[in-house]
Amino acid sequence: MRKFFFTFLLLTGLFATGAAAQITRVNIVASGLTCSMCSRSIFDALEKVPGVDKVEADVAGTAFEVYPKTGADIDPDALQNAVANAGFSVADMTVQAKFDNVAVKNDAHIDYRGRMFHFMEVKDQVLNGEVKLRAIDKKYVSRGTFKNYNKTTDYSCYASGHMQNCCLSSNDSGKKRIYHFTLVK
Amino acid sequence: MTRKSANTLKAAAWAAFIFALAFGPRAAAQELFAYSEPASNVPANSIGLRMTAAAFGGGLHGAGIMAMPEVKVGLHRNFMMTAQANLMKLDNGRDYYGGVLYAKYRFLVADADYSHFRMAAFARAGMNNMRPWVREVDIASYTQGGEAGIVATQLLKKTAINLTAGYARSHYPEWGIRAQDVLRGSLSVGRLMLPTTYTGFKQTNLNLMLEAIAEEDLGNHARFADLAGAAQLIFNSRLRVDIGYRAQLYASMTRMQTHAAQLRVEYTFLNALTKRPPNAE
Repeated sequence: MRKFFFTFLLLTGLFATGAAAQITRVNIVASGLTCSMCSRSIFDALEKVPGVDKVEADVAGTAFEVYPKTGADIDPDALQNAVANAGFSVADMTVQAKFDNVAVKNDAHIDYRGRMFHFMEVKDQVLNGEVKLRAIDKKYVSRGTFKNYNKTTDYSCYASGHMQNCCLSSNDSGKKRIYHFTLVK
Repeated sequence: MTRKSANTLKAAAWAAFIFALAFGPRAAAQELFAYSEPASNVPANSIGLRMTAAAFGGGLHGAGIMAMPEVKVGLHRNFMMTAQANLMKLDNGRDYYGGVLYAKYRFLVADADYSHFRMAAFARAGMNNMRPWVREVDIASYTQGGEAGIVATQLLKKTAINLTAGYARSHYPEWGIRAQDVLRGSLSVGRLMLPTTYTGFKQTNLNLMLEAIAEEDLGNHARFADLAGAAQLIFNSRLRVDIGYRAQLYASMTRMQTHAAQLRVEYTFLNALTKRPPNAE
């Protein structure tokens, strides 16, 4: 009975939050390394991130392809943290996700499974099918790229990565994480 | 060996070192040096086990062997500690033992594609039951005392350059011997030789290194300078084996050794301290 109850909760949870979009893979390019031992430490750390099914490493390109478990949630910040804990930095992260009729607007948020995604440098459009997003928060890009994106927005949540007064629901201002993305053309 | 041939050898060693400094970075290694510590840390939550064995000779008390088992712990991405035991046996029959604690804080990280520049501060404390026979101060091996310093590492593609500068003080109250203050430094160049192109974790890596280690006594200005070469093999991107040889270029102070061969094996248990999240399978 209890098992059934949990399954029910899990299913409703999936439908409630997971129907609109689902991450299918994440590509990470790490920086600050060349050696295979360094790549190996990143690889092992990424494999331990909750929700990760499989990681493929391109040692020469210091790049990693991360596949989530079916239906599992995966936190981009947890992936970034894994790279940083291994001793290195994220130079580029693209997130491939399946969308089902999700409208995005420039400098506007969408709710992705309870996480707030803020889109920048995009045209107003409706996302359907597999779409590639590039994470552009400060810790996902080079300093120069960050500065360039920061110039394009008046929203202070971009620099902090957290909900600020600029955001629509400012109840938990300064606390709730806002993930910033742009679309990969 | 005659004096003349020894001098020729020294000149050749210096020439090789200068050559490596001049051309190393352009050619394309790594920064897991055999005779110095880089500014980078072991990954957070990992544990490294290291065993170093050395056979040395030429010092004030003749030849001997050393064994140095060591445990490294990555407590944070910016902070690591190591604990090391030093066991020495001299050919004259005497045994000595001691221990070293080492802590390193990485305070600067500038990462770019296939390169990085990092800086760290370190501190080291050593204990040993050996009477301070020689004037050389080596807290990492057999001198009782403390050391603090800065280390900077530049990685550029397949070449890494490491610079260490430290201040060390010997401490022997039980022998009634005055503390000795020294400046100690090292300059290391490492280069990845094999594979020429990475295809996976299973490829065996070969790194070659050339390192210079020097010290100056701040009291009487006695000095020494050593040159060391090492070959490093990395198996399965996990197991590291270093084979190195270190030789004195110059010394105006008494030493425990003038030349030494070293073998080191190191294995890192990644994420050994990571608590598995409850939702992980």
